[in-house]
Amino acid sequence: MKSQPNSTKKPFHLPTGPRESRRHTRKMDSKGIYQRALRSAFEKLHPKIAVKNPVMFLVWVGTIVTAMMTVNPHLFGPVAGENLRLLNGFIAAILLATVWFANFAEAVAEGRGKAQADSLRSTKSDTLARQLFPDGSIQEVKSTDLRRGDIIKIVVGDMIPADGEVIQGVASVDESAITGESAPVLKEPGSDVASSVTGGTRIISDELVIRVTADPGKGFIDRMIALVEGADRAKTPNEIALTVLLAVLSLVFLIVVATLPALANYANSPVSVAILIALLVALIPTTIGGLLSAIGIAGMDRVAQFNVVATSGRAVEACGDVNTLVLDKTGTITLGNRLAEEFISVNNHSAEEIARVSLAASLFDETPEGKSIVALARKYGANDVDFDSSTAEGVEFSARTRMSGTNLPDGSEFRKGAVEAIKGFVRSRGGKLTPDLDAAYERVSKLGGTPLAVCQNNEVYGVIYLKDIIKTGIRERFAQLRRMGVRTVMLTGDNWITAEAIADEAGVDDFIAEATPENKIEVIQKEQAAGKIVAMTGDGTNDAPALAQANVGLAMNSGTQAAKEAANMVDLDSDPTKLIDLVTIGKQLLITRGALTTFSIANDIAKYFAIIPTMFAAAGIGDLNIMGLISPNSAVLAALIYNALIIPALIPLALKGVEFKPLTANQLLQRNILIYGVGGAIAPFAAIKAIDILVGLLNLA
Amino acid sequence: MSRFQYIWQTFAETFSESTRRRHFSTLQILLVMCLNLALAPAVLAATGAQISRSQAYSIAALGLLTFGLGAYLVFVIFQPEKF
Amino acid sequence: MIAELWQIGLTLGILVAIVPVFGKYMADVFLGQKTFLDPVVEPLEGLIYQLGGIRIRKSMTAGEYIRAVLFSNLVMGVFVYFIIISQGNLPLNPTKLPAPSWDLALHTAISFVTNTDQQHYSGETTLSYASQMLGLGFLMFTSAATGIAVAIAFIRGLTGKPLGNFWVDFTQSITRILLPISIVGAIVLLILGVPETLAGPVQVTTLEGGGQFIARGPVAHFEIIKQLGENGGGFFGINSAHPYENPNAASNLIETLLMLCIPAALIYTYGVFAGNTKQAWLLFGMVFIIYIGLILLTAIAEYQGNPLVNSLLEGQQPNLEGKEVRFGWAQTALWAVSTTGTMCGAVNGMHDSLMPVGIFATLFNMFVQIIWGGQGTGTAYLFVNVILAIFVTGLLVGRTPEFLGRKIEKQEIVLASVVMLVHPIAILIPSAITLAFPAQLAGISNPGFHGLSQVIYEYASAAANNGSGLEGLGDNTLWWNLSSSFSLLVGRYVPIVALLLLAEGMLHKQTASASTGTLRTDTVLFTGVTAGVILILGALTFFPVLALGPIAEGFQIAKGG
Repeated sequence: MKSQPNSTKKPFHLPTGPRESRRHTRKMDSKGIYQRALRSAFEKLHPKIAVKNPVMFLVWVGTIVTAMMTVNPHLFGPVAGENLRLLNGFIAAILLATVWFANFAEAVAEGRGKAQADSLRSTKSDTLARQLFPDGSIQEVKSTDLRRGDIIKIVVGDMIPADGEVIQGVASVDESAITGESAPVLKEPGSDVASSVTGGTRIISDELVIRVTADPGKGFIDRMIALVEGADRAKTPNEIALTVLLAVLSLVFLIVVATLPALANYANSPVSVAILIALLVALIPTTIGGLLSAIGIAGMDRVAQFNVVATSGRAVEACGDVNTLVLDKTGTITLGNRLAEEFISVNNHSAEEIARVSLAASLFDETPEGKSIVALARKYGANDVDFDSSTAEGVEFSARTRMSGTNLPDGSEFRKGAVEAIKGFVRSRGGKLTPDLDAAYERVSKLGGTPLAVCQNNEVYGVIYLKDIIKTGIRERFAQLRRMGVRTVMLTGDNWITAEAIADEAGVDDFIAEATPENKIEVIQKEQAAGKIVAMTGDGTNDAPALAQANVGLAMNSGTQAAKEAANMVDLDSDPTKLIDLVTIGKQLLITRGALTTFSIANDIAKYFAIIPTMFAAAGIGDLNIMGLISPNSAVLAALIYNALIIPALIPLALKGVEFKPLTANQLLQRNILIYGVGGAIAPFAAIKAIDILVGLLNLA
Repeated sequence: MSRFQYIWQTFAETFSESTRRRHFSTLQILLVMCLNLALAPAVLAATGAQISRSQAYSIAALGLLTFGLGAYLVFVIFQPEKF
Repeated sequence: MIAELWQIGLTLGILVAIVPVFGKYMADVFLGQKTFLDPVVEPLEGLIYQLGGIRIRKSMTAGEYIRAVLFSNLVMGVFVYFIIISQGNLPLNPTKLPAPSWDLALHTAISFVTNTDQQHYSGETTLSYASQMLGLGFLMFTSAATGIAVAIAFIRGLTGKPLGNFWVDFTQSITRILLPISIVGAIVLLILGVPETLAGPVQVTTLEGGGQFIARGPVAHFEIIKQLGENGGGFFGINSAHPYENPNAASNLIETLLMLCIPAALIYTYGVFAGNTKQAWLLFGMVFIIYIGLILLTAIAEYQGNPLVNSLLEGQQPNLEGKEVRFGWAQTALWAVSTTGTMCGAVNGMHDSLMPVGIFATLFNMFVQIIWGGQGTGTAYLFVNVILAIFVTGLLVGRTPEFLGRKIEKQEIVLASVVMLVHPIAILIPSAITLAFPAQLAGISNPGFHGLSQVIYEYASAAANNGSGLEGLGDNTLWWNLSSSFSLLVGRYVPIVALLLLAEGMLHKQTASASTGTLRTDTVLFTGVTAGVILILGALTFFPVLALGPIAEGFQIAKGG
């Protein structure tokens, strides 16, 4: 019989190695991506697809009209000037390139997901599964015929055919296909954490009987494939609002340009339709319009590369908005296991005595804490030989009793557990309590440790000081989060004093002591009522309601199926600190959109100064040609070429995301306005001038 | 939900219904060309003798195209989820 | 030159001093706090509410508010239309003026009900005293009160309060703000020499022995609300350039301040509502700086005069064409920028005679509509711009954008977009149609770039509910009356509907508390970015038009053409 861990939290399965080395677990063929994107960019010219991107659709229509004007420059009335065919042809070609570049950006972003999906799909093969029927017969069926609720048996070497819950057997499973983690994971029934298996993983020892929990095509891997492929990519609320803004700007400029010929004719400086289209394309926000979907896809992709599966882009975006992080102490702030540091004897007992009693109480405790108590007790000279473990009986830890221990055949009962629980135990056996127990308890609590009282029958021997080890660097991360305006709340089963000490040491903003999993949902609801966006991690079935309630719920892959289904993200590495990185990714996603929008609008100033003065040179405003562009035609071409080339130039930025620094909002605004606003206003002046000189040298116009 | 939001939504829904089929059928193109047939002489009359008949026809078509693009953008503004 | 700039500085200094006091007073009125006028106006208001059957405690939804605005305005517009159309049969018509054409009457009624007061006629020779007082004078109060009520409802929604009751806001705007100031102001104007009489024109014999009619009438009370309510429709055709409307420097000072005080102080009122006067002062400062910039541009251009004239005079002279010598270049420039900025539309000199820079400034004012902006609506537009700025900058800091803790989402952007689209639609499209048929439709008196400006100005003035004009346009035609009526209506009611829906949307949003990750909107940095967004969006939309109008005209004059 196994004893259970003596804390309410189970230790997390923590992956090894620094995070950087764990990224990019699934290798992708980047050359293939670009080749595929080159072709796909042409396919996206199909009107049915093109109409989905309003800004680019306008450019596409403009391309067709200018192409017609290349054939017949005087299609829409007589136009003055020479080499009109050449000019219109150039304009049409540049516009086509603009659309193609935008398609290419989207195709590259999608391509990365597709490549990932392919590698995931390779894990899914049609295998034969052994289905167990209620009458006990076994029959081989196709894995695609398995339905939710079916019972199957898998033996060593088998690919697990579907997501399921272990109901019988113990086996190690290689989950590297989805987590990239090569160390096998132990699966067994009953336990919350270790009982769920994922389709596509391989069993490498023994055999399991599992109950299928997902219908074909709805399993974890299928969901992941759909996500990384972007098949069911719905627009996020923010993207929708931005789409509206871009459509409005386009419509405003469409009205401006469409009404211009009447004004220009009246002012005796008529303009050709091709030039008007060029002006329209230069003004509408093509840069952001062309890259918007690529940014969103790449954002999801970044999350995926981080080994986190998000169920929707909405969840990723919400990460950037998070105000409050609700974090479990164990596994997130502190290392999963606490270690026994010291025995504090009370009631005039010696340290040796308490070591002996602690050893006896921990005999059946297999948790790291239990083992560390045994190790420490041995240091104090306690010896296993004093006990006959074969006749002894383990008392399991439960959340209700909050203690565990050992019963010996001679009737002595050894217990260790929460101080209050032990006090009750002792009192129930008619024992007396001494004030130095409380003193010891407080001392340990103030040190941030967990005090475990130990007793034999009705006699309290002392307190074990279990020390929490706070993860290195966590304090700095919390400081960063605070600067970003994210509040951290620590949840712990510890008492108030211990919790405060740890909260202090780790630098969290708030903590909830003596918390039960049910407390989580209360904390989240309270924060949400104050208008906050809350993120949390969880792995147990009892975390599922809270994960569903939180705006961002990150479930651990090692967790239960229920938790994974309730959450909107699953971390394949089961590393709860990743929540902090997800906040950064979410913000980066929004900032990238904002930066390119700002850049796109700021660019318009230079484009105006390039096109309008040369366009209306006949109206005598040539002096506004402050860039000294060579001719009206070269000015238009330079502005358009800049407009087209800026899209591929910014593809890397769109895919990688704008560099995020953990600054306050005001510092971020200052920095980004300077780079993308002011920079976006100035840079195109230089670029357009340079292109104009080139166009002049090549004598294109 | 206030009555106004209701009206607003109904409007948006009706609007999306009528524009759902974005791929133009032959009939729609024919209708647009018929409209153009009426517009082109007006353009010709307005511009005087400066342009030819075929140019007037294409200018009118361009005007209709511009109007169509404007309507398309208005649709995007009110129903951005579809894009 | 220095002395004149001092005059401008003095006027602006008084304005800055008035703003916090008056802004706080307006906030008190609409927050239901005690004010010193309570004992006087409460019985009056009680009577009005009883007569109208208004339940004052009942706050309206946006839908109810919108219907109340549209319904009241429709009824008043129809009422005034019938007064004007039947003025020949009504009393108070000493000069026996006949009814104007139906389209002029329609345009006039719409123009006054929308707080625009664009006039395609000369008051003294077209409208009877009955039309002026019972029709137009009445609308001057109600249209201004409508604007204030909408602005207050908008501010309430933005700051998370119920929108309020239109009939109460409307009544209180009149009884507690417009009427008291008008009564005091009209008496002051009377003292300064503005006439108030129901007698007909006087016939005098000039020094040369010829006969002349001098028009007069109930001017003082008309004048005061014309300025205070941002109406701008003059009793006389030449508006506040007429010595009976604006006799001297003192009356000019008062009238300038009157047209500025409500829109400027409403920004402070917002600050009191939001509990953030720092932000109010920052926004005030932003508008104030742009305002001063435009004044200086206009004033210096007028001071430098017209190079064509200067070359004839062989010396630099201020441009005094179309100006009252009583006011000079500086006060005319200040007035021109103020009247186009505040959507008042009254003039104390002819904008047609401004240098191209001045025309640029006045057009720009009407395009952006927030350099104080119209009665009430200007402040609301200011916050629409703030919301757009927040949307862009919010993304830049990596959070869903928030204003006063409320998220800016699709609905807000859609409604702000509707407001943004009104001007291109109501100005550019009719202008293009008019200019496509210059001979048939435009009636331009001064062809070329200036003529283009005249047409654009007329529609901009209508769409922005300003009312001034680059006169010289033959605008009393069926086309002009109807097409500018379209701009008037679109420019007034579409934004009002959008604003109220926007306010209600914001009201029902859950507020989030601020943190260091939240973008603060009461900083110099954010205000600067807002100014950038306003100027860039305004400039981007209208740059081609400005280039072909005043900019081209400026280059033409500079080149001696």
